[in-house]
Amino acid sequence: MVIKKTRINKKAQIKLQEMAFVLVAIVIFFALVIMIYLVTRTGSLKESAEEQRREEVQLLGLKLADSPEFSWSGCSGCIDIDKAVAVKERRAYKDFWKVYYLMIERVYPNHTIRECTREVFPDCNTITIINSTYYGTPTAAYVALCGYDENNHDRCELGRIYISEKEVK
Amino acid sequence: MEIKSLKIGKKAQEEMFGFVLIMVFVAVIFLVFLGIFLRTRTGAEEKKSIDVYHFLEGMMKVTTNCEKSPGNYLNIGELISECYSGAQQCIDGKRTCDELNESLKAVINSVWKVSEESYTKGYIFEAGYNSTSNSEKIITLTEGNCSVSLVGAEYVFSAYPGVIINSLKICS
Repeated sequence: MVIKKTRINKKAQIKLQEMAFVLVAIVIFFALVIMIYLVTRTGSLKESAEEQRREEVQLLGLKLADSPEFSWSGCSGCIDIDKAVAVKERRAYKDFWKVYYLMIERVYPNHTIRECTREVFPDCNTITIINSTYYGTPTAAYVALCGYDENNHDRCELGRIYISEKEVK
Repeated sequence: MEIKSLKIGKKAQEEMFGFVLIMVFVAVIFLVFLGIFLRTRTGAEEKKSIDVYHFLEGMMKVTTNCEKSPGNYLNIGELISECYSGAQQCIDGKRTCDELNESLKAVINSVWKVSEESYTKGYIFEAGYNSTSNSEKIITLTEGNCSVSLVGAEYVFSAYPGVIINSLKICS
């Protein structure tokens, strides 16, 4: 009688052990799945936060393009390149916008690679308006740069506006 | 003897059923996980297209060499509309569609430099007219190899009674 009871107990113990193993395996599996998911999700969250920040800076660039200091009357979102050269030479604008770096590059058509000043314009390709000592990596957005050609006709070209924001969220 | 054998058979069946149940459970979780992972990947591809969108927006305003009337030079956006509207010609006798082709190639190639060594392996630019009654391709430009991943955007502008849809896909 006693021997039979002990046998049953042992069998039940083995069954319990089996169940415990299965439960532990399932818990480990779930933990792994959740961990992998969280790692992927965090990675993509960081990526999307960075992307969002980049988009915000790009929008700031386009907003600047529409400001009275840069806007071209012929089309919305276009930069008046003559205004940009004039703004570059005025010291009052160095702290006007909350940006560390503000530069306009003429992308198409090709121009001589050098900084624009009133003397060399239009034979130049960059207009650096604000250039602080520290500015990190600037974000760029494509814009249309417009002005008058030698025959006084409206002419737009493709450019890029580079911005490095002061307040990084 | 026979009863004992039947009992063992039933027990084995129960164990197998439990095993299959766990396997199905694990497979379902794996599939859900895979689905979420793949969906995240697809989203990441679309996010990159904001650069291409701004490029298309800026490119549409670039002035071309096609003069419609003395002193009135068309931009790329207007040239696409002119090309769609028929065999219009520039003041120098050049066909608007030819001028459009040249201008588009020059602008896109100046930004997205296609080569085997560079990040950009190719591109596809398409412009098409779309209205409720009509859908027509205006121009298609392709360069390089476009079999790998795509990053792109669409820029739409009005061309009464429909719209002109411009799309650029960059292959890397």
